[in-house]
Amino acid sequence: MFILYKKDGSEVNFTTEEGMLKTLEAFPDKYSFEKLKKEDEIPKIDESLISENEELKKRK
Amino acid sequence: MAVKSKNPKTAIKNPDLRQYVFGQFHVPQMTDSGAGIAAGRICEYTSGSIKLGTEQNVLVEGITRTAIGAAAKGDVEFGFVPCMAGSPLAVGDRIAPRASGYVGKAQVAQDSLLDAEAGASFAVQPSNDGVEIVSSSAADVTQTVTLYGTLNGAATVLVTETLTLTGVTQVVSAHLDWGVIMGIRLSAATVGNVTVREASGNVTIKAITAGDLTAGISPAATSNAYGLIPRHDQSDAGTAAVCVVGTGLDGAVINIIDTMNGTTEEDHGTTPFATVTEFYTGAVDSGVNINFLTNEASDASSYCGVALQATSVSGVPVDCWLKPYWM
Repeated sequence: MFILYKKDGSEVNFTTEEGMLKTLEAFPDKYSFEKLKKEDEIPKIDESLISENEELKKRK
Repeated sequence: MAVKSKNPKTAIKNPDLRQYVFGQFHVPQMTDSGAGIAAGRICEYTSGSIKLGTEQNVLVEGITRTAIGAAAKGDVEFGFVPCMAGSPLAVGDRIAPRASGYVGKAQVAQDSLLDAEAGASFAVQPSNDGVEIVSSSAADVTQTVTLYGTLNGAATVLVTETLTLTGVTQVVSAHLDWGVIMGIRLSAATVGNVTVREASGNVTIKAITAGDLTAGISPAATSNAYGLIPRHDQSDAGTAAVCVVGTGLDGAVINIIDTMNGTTEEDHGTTPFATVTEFYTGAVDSGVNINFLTNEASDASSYCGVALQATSVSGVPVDCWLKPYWM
């Protein structure tokens, strides 16, 4: 089973790698290898950790 | 008509479980609120009564072991029961309700049924004309040529006509009002090249090279359509008609012709398919790639059990473990 992702993140299964690749080539705006993440799904770095890191650098 | 299944008294070896299953999985005398329910069909709970199950409904109550007439009372069963398959099933497949009380293999993601296939782009269409076939070799006198298309003014009804080659002498179709030719199939390889052309002006619709057996006919990449309406999509603008051939929920062979809608993915008609076998693309331009998919609707909210028996065809009862919506 070979998988491509639509822009909305949903999966589409393909029986063959050849079929998957030619569909990706024919529909480049609709499919991708990677599942796109929404902005709110990307974990944000805790600001306090950044400041702690800066403090540690100063001590060294 | 009663539907046969394994007797839970003998199928379940554990006596305690057997007693529980046999004694409890039964809802007596439910009233049908619709036009009646055939045997072995999913029933859907509705306001204290039942009705024939609908696609992806989330209120499965059970199945009818025997037919229930319109507004009549009948027993509904769940647990180890025979359900009417609306798609191919493997042992252990999760099942979900389909139209007309069938069950289909539950779908969690779309499958590609036709992987980016370029249209067959028949050069010209009859548009209310007859069709001729002729070979470049006098030796081609036994092979048949089957035409798949529509007649002028009936764009959604697939018509087939089979003609036998008579060598270099043209053969004219019985239908003299072909609208669009969508697919061509030869019964066996020919010695010469075969030309399919308009009857009036002899303009070539499609030239088939010796050895080729089809034109405009693409086989499905995979056949299970889950008992749902397939989806079509294409890479470029255009509204040419494409025909999908397969089987319906009841197992009968069906075909649905629908026009593409440019680059918009949408349902192909309104009829669910149990399986798809092939696509007729002769009316689509060769610069356009076509993609067919299974339906996009997930069954994640409508699982209603598990298949305990495999079937490669629809329209037959298969043993399942069926759970009601409240379980």
